[in-house]
Amino acid sequence: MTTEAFHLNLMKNGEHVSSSPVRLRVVVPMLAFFAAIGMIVWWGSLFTQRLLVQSNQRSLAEENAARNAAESEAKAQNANYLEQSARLRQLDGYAAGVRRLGPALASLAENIPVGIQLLDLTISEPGPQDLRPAHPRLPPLRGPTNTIERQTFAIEGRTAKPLYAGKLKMTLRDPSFAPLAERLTGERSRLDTSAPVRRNETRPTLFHLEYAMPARSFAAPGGEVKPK
Amino acid sequence: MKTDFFDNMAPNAQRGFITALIFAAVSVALYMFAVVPEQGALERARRAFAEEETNKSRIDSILKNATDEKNRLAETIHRLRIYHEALLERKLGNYATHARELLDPLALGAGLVEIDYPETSIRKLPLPDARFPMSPAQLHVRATVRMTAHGSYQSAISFLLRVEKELPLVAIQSLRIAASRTDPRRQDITFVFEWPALDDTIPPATPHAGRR
Repeated sequence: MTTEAFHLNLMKNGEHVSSSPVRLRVVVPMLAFFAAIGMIVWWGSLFTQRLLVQSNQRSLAEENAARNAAESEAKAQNANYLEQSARLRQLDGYAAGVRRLGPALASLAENIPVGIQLLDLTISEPGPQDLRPAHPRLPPLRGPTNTIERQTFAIEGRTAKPLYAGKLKMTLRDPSFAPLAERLTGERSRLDTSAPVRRNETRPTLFHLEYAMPARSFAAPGGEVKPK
Repeated sequence: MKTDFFDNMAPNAQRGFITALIFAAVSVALYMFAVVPEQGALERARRAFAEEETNKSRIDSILKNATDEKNRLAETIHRLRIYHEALLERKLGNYATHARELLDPLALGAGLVEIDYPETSIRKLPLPDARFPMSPAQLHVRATVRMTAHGSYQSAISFLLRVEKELPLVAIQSLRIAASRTDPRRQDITFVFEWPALDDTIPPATPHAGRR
């Protein structure tokens, strides 16, 4: 009696073809299955996140919408504040340009040297305003951008002795006349031939003094521009 | 050759291979038609949320400043009122009528006579300077009023001192005091005064709607 060698063959015949039959039959489909499950989980996670973000966004949008009226009111208030403060700056600029000449002119009457007769006292008109736009095609400016104006103070008089005119110049150097006379810019004198003189009498002299006045600045405080 | 490979597979392996292919196809389909669109939707939702958050912080900031700004506005309006009370107004179509009402009592009190108010041109006030480039919708001008009179130098200066005291926003633009040829005590006096006034010569510009 021959005894065949005992062999427990747990594999089916077809499975002998594959070098790794278990991987092909089980592992690969399982991996593919888990990949599909992973995709579903991934999508689910994204979907949940989106719902959460959308929900937050909606509640935030509702909150913002509820405050729209208050925001509009605050914006209108802001626009009004900007307009009013711009008006105020312009009027502050005007106030900065207001000058007091009364005390200096009153002091002039008190301090004028004896022997001088004032004939004419003039504060000149300011120069014309430049409202030309930067380009000819643009509309004219709504206001000048230059905040500085210059004027002159001229004084004409008659004196028996030219020495008195010199005294007047010395007087006008006093700081109390600073609002009127900053710097002497011109002077001339001539004999007064209009009136007849007696024999042995000297002919009076007509003099003309011209001073540059301090620049008048319309720059509002805090935004002052120094005179050029 | 591929077919041979598949044919040579054991039937179970073939089933496994097909199952794997199906799941792989399902995975790819899920990625392409579910995950990728969902990522886009989530990105859009995040952007919308970020936008709302920006809006919220902007509104918070506006509302936070609103109280301070309300106080500043009240202070500005209070300061403007001082100017507005001093503005020269057109009466009977000109500024001189209003100026006459204000100046005549002072001029007569100072002893000036033969007072007249011829019309003069208007000068525009400079726009707020370069550090504050915003120009107001409602501009103001320097309304100028020429006043001629006769009297002594002392009367003219007395009048000027009164004007400067009583009307602090009135400025003297130009002046001429000339001795009369006929009477040395009498002077021909010309003042050009200027007042702040509303500019009604040009239409107001667009206001600063919501500008910050």
